[in-house]
Amino acid sequence: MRQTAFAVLALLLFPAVPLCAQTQITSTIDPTKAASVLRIAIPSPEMTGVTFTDVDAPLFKPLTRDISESGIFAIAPLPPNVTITPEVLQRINAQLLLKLAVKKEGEDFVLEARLSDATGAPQFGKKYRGSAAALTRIAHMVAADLVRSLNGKPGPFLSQIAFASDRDGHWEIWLMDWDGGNQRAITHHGALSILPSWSPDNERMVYTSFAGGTSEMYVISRRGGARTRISTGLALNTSATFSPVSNDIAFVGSVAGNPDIYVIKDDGSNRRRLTTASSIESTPEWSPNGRQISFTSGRSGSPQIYVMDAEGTNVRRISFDGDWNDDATWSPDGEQIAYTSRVNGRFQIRVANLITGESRILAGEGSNEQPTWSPDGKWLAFQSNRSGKWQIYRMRIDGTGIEQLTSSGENKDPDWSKKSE
Amino acid sequence: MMRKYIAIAAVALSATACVSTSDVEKLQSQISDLQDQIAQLKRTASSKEEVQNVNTKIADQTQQLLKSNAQLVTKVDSIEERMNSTQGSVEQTNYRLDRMVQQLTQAQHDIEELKTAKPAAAPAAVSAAPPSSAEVTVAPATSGESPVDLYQTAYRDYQRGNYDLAIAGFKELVQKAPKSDLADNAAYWIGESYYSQKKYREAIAQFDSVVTGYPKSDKVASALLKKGYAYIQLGEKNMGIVQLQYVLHEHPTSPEAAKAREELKRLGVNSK
Repeated sequence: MRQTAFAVLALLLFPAVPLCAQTQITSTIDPTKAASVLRIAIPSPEMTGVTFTDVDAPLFKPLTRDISESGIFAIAPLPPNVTITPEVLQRINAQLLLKLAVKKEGEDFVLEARLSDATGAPQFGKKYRGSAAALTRIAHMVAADLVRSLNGKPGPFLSQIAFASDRDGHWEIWLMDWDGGNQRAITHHGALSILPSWSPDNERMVYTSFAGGTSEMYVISRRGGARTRISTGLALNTSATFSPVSNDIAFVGSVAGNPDIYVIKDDGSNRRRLTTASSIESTPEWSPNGRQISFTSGRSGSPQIYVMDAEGTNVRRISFDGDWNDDATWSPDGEQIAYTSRVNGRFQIRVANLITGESRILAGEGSNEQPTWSPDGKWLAFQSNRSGKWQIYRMRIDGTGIEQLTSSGENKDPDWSKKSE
Repeated sequence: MMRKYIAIAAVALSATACVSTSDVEKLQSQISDLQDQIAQLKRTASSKEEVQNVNTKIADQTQQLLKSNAQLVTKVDSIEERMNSTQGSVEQTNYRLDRMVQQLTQAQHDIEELKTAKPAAAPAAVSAAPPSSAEVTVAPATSGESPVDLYQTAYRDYQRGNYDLAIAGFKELVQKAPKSDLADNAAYWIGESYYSQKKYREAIAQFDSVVTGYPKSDKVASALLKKGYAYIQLGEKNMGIVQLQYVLHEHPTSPEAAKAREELKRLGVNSK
């Protein structure tokens, strides 16, 4: 059902229509200022043939939430029932004004967004069109366009988080928006299916499933549908992860019960073994340039994070704090690695800088595991049992702004999409 | 055994039909044969107990063997454990060393800076020395960037996939501070950056310079192995094989040797 909604959305979303010639996506605002927070006023939308309840939850709430969490904008509260003038904006110290207008055209909603500075000079304008089911997607698109108009990057608003959920009785692969909205199942194996990992083009996912009785890797489109099994000729076949630069998949396979890191093409050809130690090697993850692979190894007696060249050479250990480190994942710029680190008997998220060697602990209550970076590198999603059940949370990379994204059943193995859109 | 006995008895019975002396003799000899066989049978029967004994003994010994085998396994396990923890402390030490090297390199750089900054006359003294050919071109007027800064910037570029910038940065470091303890790492990363760009010829030359320039570096085995891989990528299989065999010869116990062995196997070449 949701898949059809998406197909419809794709048809209905017209290409960006500039509202007038001078409102291109260029900004007169000093880009150096974009680094600091801009105060933005968002008055109640103009509505034609639409009630506020039609659009509040699906459109305005997610839009204003995105804007306030962008790290670029802070929403300047407007006094009620006041005509917006430059003086009013000045009084509330707003540098920007976002005007929204929604009308109904047949079954479609049409949203106009216009951004101007405090003097009224237009900064950005765009028209969006879609069905009721597409309104939330539109909200995220507006937020992405706004942020891009100011700093050239779309932010995380259109990214997706894949995860595993048991809410329907079996562990299956699910997807959600960056804010936890729009949660939907992608697989329906009726058998344990876990550990999803996005392809670099955001189109596919590879995951582990026991659908055939033993643990195997499958590739599926993010729209669901048919899945392909990757036959490796090995046992275990888990922790699969796509190379960001090729169609290689790194995974954990085992021969005679000894798990090692392997790489295989997504069509099951050209299998190569990268690690040869007698210890357990697990959880491989590619660096963003596709030339390094991090993994966990017990070769020093306790699980620690190592990095090797993509050929399996030049192995060096990078985790030195904590007696148990696992689940390493690279920041999009390749400079930092986040991982699960046991501190005083409890698992926490640690972020280590590969260049300087410094590391710091994030998160708090309960056990916090399996971090994954947002494509803009400003957020981490992770799983925590702080509520008594495993749920997926999101926080800024400084550890602030923690928010619970899932609540139905138990939810684990988050993997944030690699691209922002 | 019983089946044979019965068969012989049957032969003896059928022989009674027509009897001659030679027949009787034959029969007697057959009977004596039979008696022998019975005696033998009796003997084997008595040795059954012995068999039992032997069996118990064997079982005991097996038990003992198993036990000592189990002890061996535990011993191997504990050795492996010890090796692991040794590996762990080696890694820790290496890490601390790396950090210290960076600090030391930084400190050396700072001292040099102070030295050159103080007496403005110093450079004149240097230029007074006889100009030794054109090689004095050295690095471009030092930007004051320390080797550590250079290293970190270049490594950052490498991670971001800006290989040309990374190569330039690492090269500058090698040029400016060839004796620094970061130089061998930088030299390796230049090779790896070329490899990442699929510039395998340049990579081979660079890995060579790691091996010849820093023969004691911990990157040598990796450089040799990557050189072999580079030849294979170029389609020069024989050169690759020679190179991989060289890794086995030079660093037989390294993890790189295990990788080389595996690659040789994949190429259909036997190795020790």
